[in-house]
Amino acid sequence: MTSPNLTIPSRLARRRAATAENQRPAWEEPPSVPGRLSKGVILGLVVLAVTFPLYVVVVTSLSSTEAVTRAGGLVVVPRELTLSAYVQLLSGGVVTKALMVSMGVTVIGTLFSLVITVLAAYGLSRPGSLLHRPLLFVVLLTFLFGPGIIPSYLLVSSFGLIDSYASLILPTAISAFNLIVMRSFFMGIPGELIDSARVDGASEFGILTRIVMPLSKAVVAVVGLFYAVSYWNAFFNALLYLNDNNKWPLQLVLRTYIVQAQQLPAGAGGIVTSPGMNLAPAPTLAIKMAIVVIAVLPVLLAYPFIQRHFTKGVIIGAVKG
Amino acid sequence: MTTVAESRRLRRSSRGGANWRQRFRKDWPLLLMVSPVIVLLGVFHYFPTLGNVIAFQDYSPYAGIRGSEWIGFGNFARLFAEPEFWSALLNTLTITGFQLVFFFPIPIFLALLLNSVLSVRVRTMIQGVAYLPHFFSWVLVVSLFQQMLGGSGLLAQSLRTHGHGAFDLMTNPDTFLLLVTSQAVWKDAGWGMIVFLAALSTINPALYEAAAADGANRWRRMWHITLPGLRPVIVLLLILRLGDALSVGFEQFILQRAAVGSEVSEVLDTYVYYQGLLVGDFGYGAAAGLFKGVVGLVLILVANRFAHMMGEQGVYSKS
Amino acid sequence: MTGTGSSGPNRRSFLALVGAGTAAVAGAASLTACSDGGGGGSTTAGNAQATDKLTGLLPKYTAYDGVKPDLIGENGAAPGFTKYPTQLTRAVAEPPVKSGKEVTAMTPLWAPAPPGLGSNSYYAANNERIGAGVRFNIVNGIDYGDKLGPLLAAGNIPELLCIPGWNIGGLTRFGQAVDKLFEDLTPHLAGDKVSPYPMLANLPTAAWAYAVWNNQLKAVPFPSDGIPWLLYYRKDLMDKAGAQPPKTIADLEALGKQMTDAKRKQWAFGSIADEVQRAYGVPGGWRKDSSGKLINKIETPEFEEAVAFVRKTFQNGWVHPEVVANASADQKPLFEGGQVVIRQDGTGTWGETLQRQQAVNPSFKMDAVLPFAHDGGTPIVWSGDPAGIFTFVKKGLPADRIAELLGVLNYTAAPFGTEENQLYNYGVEGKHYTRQPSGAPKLTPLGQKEIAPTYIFLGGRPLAITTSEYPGYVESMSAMQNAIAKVREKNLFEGIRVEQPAKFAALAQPFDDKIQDIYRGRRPMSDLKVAVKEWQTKGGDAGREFFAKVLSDNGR
Repeated sequence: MTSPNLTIPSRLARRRAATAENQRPAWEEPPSVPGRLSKGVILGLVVLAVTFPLYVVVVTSLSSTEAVTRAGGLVVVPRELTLSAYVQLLSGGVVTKALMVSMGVTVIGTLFSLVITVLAAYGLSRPGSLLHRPLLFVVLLTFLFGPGIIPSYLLVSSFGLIDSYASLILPTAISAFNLIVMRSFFMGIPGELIDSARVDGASEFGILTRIVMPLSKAVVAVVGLFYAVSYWNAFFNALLYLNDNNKWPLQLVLRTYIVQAQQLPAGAGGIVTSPGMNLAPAPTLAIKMAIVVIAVLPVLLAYPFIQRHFTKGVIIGAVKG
Repeated sequence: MTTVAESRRLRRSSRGGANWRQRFRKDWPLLLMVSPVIVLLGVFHYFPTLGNVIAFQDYSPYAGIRGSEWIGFGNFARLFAEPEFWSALLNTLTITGFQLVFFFPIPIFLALLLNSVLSVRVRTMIQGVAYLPHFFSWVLVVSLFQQMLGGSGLLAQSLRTHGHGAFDLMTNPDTFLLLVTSQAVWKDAGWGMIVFLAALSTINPALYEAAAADGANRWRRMWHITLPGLRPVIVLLLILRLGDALSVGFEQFILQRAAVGSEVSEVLDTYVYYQGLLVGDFGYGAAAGLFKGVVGLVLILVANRFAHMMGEQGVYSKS
Repeated sequence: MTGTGSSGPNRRSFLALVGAGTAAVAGAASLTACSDGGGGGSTTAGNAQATDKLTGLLPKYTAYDGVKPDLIGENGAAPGFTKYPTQLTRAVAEPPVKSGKEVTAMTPLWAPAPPGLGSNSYYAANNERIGAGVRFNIVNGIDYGDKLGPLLAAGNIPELLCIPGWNIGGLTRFGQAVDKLFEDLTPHLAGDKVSPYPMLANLPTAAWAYAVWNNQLKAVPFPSDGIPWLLYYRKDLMDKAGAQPPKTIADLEALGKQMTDAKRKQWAFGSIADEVQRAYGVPGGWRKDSSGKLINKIETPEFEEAVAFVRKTFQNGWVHPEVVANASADQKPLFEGGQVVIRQDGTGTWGETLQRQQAVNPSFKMDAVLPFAHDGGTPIVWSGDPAGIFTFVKKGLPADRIAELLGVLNYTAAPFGTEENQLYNYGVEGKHYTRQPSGAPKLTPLGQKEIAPTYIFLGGRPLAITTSEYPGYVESMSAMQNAIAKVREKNLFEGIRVEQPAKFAALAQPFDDKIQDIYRGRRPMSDLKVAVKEWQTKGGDAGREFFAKVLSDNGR
């Protein structure tokens, strides 16, 4: 790592790298037959182990009450597929609004979390900087000790945040895990790059945006994914802090579908909430599986965009040893 | 890569004679960058976390913390006096230990394997589905395993129809450790792989070419380039996992409690749930939470020191 | 290593979600408490209500005779209606909320979230009869307990708050919360003071007695039938095999062998342990021996016999493997799919299952086994709580507002066959529902979208067996309830609200773990004695003293 030639990879260089990786580089020896075979078998098994249950989930979500009854649970062999579970979930009066709320909270929350996490991760990643050890310790401790539900509720309520969307973001905006992982990636960036930028008179913020960020797309994408997934799937803050049902996010609305057509707990003693109402044309199990699919779908759609940043050799051309 | 020696040098230079104000003048932009996180954590995390003092109380939410009776270490004494607590602790540590050996390396292995696949399309496709089980709830994971391997599952049922004796992989206490670990691997190995894939992407490919030119074969290249490149992340995640050593999951164990019996399936979290939270004894639950945090802290500090001895960065550097 | 925040699902709601919470809590309570089906209350200290002061606190019972049932329910059994009435009676003449001021309320919800106030014509129709809008803060029933805890701690409650009995067990020191937060209704309802609210006067006295905390009438109860379990069987499958419902334990054993065919994926039993205990005559909670000493159910010789029998069903492979693997598995799909022939469950399951299966499987038939004793003698049936859900009024409101709120609860207490009942259950005829040939309401698309069981969680109404669109159901259920009412076990603690000490409640799970081990052959039968001994020394004996004192304080 002596006298690094400091250039940030151009778009062109990256594209060249991406096309190049389809072929085996000239310097790499041809793979051995047993090696390829075992690799294929292992990866094949991984794919099978993941896709078969997924298939079961999807088929069950598309099944009628009769099919679920006949299977006595999850459905493996599809028969008379129907969209009724999805129709029922998405045609409810409040689902569209809830979908907007969820998307808004996920986008705004993820951006907010990501920005302050990147800032802090960089702020704590410079060796020897003032107070960085105690501050890092403050972050690390949150990983080990957490607040109870009641004190958190009292706090949010005393700030007047009940029934505000901010209550879905602020209390869980920072994950110590994400911050520490990101900091570790930042520390892996060659110190020479940063030092020489500083010599050139760049500010810390300038170093972060012009040197560190372009080299850290992979970890930013991963941490962004982690944050987005936790915002998208979260319902507990909404459950506690939102009294107004019109403000509910999607996950909380979907949870109300799980309990429909279920009887009350044993203590209720024969109380039936909806005698003979025929509320649920789709079987509960199909609804539950459809909810799983709805939870996964946005990730499935977003993942390719995140994956793009995992391209091999981001630093290509950046450091020529 | 900042080395330990380098950071030591910086530390010496910053301490040597330079005063606090001077360092502040240099580092205030960094402190400013950290401040939003510190403020948010202070307000929304640390302040309510102070509520954990109820661990030292016979707590009533209606009397509040001020009005509840202080009982010193009474809740802790009760916790430590129970043989069931110690056996739950032992189960928890056994599972953590087992999973550190048989679960923790799997995402790394998968990431390496996937990284070595040449075809971009195959790689993208496998990456694109491998993480999906992470989004399945434990209820679903356990019932999927039940429907495949349980006493009325696909496997047992096809054995029965072919006239063989059926067996039930879900109700054997002796293999429970293996069962919960394979469930955990199935659910989270693909998701855990993502961080390592990101780490792999930061390794400079030129290094491989240079090594190959020097005559290093596939395995030597992995040993000398890939693994060192992943090492900081691996060590970091290992240390963080140790900090979480007393949490191995909750739902997974409650769901399979009857199947194998509480003797092997009782973990710390389930114990505290049944003995404290379910019956509304929050002080007891808070005491157990503090115990877990303190043990996690000790493990992190020890592991971090060990990492430093091995020349690794760990969670935080020495200076 | 997920890296996600700390907003995961809470534990209690998770258990409720998989159905384990209810089973575990109910099982634990029947093990330790006085057949307190919902888990009862619990504080670390424990306390109890003196029964004999009750009489002065409770409203005077006056039956509402506007609607006549077809089948009489005696000794506390619910009346049956074999057809839907064509003419509905109006029970509440005037809108109760004269001020027109919006009423705030929080209730659990066991249905998809409906559109809110202002965009929901079902709400509007009911609110017109109430005289003001009711603004519901509705929370998913499985998550309700998680929201109640912080809400009560913060004192941040609406005018009307519904609290189900099964949530009370997890709310620490509920007695204190009741004192601090909720209005004493005694001055408004005791004795003749209930007369402005005839629908409330029509609620059974036993249910009212259960709404007393700290010697004050604190809530309007939601009466329940107090039947913890029924033993259901697949009549179609039994008929096909030429099998009869059991009348003795020997019959049950024979059915275990006859109805199990693992190759065809059919097992005789799901969960049946509580019903087996009952058949052996195990008490629901405590009983007094000849010397007057309290004996817990688990200490009785009958309990040992019952455990031995259940163990045998497990050892012989008569129990469905999924139930073996998960004591709280969802057994409904197994039963409806024909994989399980006989299983116990609450009374609500019956109608719910028929509703689901009637449409898709015309040959589906189920029935419940009439309670039997192990030797064919006179059986007992455990008596559960006479009320399961309670609605509280916020403390410190002016008297005329309290009167208005009680008026709302009077409206929602209107029984089956009244206009009000039909309106808050099904909305407006022709708009939210139409009538099927059987007379049963069928929701229109608008009804399906807008109607959610919300008003019904405000207070309660007398139980009635009404879903006559399922052929034979009302008759069977009515016969069953009348039969049960005759042999109901006399509960030592009847009418006394006992909040068991947390330490005593915490004994339940370790003991149950050992029983599950014995059933599944992981422990020998002889370990039962060891487990009982351990239960006694670890707090069971202290619990015995606590409960004995409760009885002596009440002069029993």
